[in-house]
Amino acid sequence: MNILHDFLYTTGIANMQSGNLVMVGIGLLFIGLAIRKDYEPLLLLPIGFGSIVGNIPPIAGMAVGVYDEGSVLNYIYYGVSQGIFPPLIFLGIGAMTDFSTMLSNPRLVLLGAAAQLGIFLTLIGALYLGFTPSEAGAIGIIGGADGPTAIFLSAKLAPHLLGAIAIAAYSYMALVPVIQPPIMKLLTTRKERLIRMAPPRNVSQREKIIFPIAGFLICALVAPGAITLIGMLFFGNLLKESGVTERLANTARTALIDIVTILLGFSVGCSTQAQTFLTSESMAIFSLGAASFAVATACGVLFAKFMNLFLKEKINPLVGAAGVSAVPDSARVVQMVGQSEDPQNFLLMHAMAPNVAGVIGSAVAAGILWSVLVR
Amino acid sequence: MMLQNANITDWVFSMFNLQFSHQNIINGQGFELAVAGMIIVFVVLATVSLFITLMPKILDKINPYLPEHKHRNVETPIAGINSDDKATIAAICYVFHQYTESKK
Repeated sequence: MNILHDFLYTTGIANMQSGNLVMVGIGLLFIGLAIRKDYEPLLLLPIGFGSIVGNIPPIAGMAVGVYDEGSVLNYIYYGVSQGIFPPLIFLGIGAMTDFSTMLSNPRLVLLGAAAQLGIFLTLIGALYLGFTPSEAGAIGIIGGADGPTAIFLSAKLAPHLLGAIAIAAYSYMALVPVIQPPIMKLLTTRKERLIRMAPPRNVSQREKIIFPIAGFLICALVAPGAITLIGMLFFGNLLKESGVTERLANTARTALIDIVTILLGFSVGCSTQAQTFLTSESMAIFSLGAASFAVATACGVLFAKFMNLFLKEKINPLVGAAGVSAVPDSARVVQMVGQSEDPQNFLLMHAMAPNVAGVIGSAVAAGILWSVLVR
Repeated sequence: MMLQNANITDWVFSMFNLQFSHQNIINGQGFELAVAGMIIVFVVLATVSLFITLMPKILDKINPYLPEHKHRNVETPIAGINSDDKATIAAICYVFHQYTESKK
């Protein structure tokens, strides 16, 4: 009878706390959003299920949880906590990315820079709320709208906030189609939304091959902290564009990125144990994350309008919203909002330029924050 | 600030433990960091933009001395057609060939 009593005492039901139930509910919500609404299913589904797994109360003395040294989940989480997975995801993204639109219209690169203002304003906001500079830097990067970059930087600067930052970054990335359109419409006139842009020029293969090498050198020499992320991004792109390593490029953009996404999403989900996740800090991080997405979008749109003051060939300011580097969701949102005004206006190709520039910009910003704040 | 017993009510009330202060920004050199960070990001991406603008012109100058190399078509099993597809295509071609031969 004692054995039965002891066993019942160790079950998940006996040890379940209200916080664990909340997190299981959030996990179910993520799974629901992924399946029913198709919001970033490749990320929300693993994170959602991981969140459920991570919130089953562990038995004392058994190494099963993500924070228990020696557990299987702990070994998988090692790739997150040591910042191994994000560069591998960047390798895959590089092997998927076509920089042609950016190469054909280089002035749109500046929109990718403008949207990074969201990162630094969020950093100021986080400092105001009482976070340390390192924590504020890690929280600020949510404004880059780039999940792998956010995980990479928080693993380096504020590992104890990693779960909350990762969840905030990916949740808001999934909600890009909800967050961005109202801001884009609010900051532009109908006339501006109807602007049609000239079709991009053809880019030679030689330009596409030279760009990842030259682009890496420019970024890495100015911001060496970005070497890992930027290096993998451009290496992946060189594999794609060189034309002689198609097998490697194909592996990087399919099998490798899929495996890493599964491991990263699931282990990040597992790290959201209520006891470490449900804190006032997490609440503040979610609020700052939402604000940073909104600010980044607004900065991109406003900077496009500012550029139009000097340009003969006007830019559709909606394209500025794609400067947040949620690839390719924010570019799709630009296309969607543009076509709601003029069904014959195709902005997707143009929006991809600031979108990929935003990926580079947020990685550079992460490199800067890392190199300054790690000391 | 962290919750000890994961009680939701405590959690909500603990929000008030956050120390909101303008002084935190100054102590953390927030403004300097933000301005310096934005300048560096802009310099990097403006340099990238400038390089992209100049690249076609540079390549035009180089082209007479170093013409663009045409890559051999490297066909890999993963890149396009897998071996099963090839076998199917070969079978279709063979049947088509037999059919056209029989019509002669």
